[in-house]
Amino acid sequence: GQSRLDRGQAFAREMLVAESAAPRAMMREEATTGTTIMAVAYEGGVIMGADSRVSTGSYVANRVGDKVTAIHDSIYMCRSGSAADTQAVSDYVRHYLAAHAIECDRPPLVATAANLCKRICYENKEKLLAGVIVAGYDPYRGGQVFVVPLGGTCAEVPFAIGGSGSTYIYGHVDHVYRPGMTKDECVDFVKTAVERAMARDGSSGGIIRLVAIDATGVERQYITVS
Amino acid sequence: SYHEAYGSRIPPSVLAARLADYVHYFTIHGALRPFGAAAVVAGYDECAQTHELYAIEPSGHCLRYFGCALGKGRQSAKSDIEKLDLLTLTCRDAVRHIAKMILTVYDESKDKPFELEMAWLCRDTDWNFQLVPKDLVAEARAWAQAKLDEDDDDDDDDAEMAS
Repeated sequence: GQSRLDRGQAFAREMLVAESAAPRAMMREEATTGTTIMAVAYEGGVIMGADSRVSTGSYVANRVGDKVTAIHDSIYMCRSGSAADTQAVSDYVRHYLAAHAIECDRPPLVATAANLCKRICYENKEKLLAGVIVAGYDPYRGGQVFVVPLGGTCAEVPFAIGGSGSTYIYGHVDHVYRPGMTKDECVDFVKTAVERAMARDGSSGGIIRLVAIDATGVERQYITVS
Repeated sequence: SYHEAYGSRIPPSVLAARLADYVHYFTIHGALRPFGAAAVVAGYDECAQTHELYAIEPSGHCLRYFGCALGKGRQSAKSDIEKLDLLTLTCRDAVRHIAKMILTVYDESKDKPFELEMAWLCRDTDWNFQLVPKDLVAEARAWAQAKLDEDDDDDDDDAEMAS
């Protein structure tokens, strides 16, 4: 998965150096969310964060993109990898989850959303480049975070990081995280970590998008970084 | 299957509804005849954490019950169920009452001898479906038989008094 991005970026760089052929280079590349995404669960809910840079090669196609997308009232998904693939996956998951919630006549489990995502990512693993974090709140089990990386595995975790920028903050998050943090501590944790990743990763940047989900609902905010 | 798609066990309400839809289909499709059988579905809903009982009839009707009966003796069984206090009744006591209801319907002259099979699903079985232990069933059947004989004796006494 990563090699496809590297090859594309190397190609674009070569073209630029050779003859300023940036437009041509861009058209051969698809938009990717080379990214930093993150989610943390605490007892009453989850905090999700992401950067906002969508790049095609080295050109920033959208500097205020929204990588944290809703798939149900209290279940969201952080997207990384191919923008097209992850949008398609999230659309399918949203559709199946809605139909499921109607049949069961109750709010869906976060685990169900994660399972649907996993099914799609696993069954189509040859065609997709999608690393995703599914997180949210359901009244039965509280706040939960599930990570569905490239191959289509699915695991529940206390917190998850993903995207190209995440590699730079593994040490940081492992050092700072402790179980039993409050909501405000989690917000701070996500904000700081994403900021640090954006500082070092060329494919991450723009603003930090933060989404807080709990029993009362969803709060969204964005933070500009200088 | 439900579990493969959604990652958790199917809630009894959904299972019953889907079964009912299937049974109902046989009442609307021209080339098919309705099912000649009814079913009771007992299950534990892991999310809602309640035990539930559903009955699906050949019409495709599906309703949730706290006590239900199907088959030949259902009328008398239903009236017996209504006499019980279902909110406080325990599984163990219910075993006895059910044995009595089944024995009430049994007519020695018309019906063949029968095996009494019982199963339950409760907190003590961890909400798993299990057969009731044979000794409990036998004990319940004996208790029920004794109760019925007692009632018959009372009836005979009343008849003597009357005459």
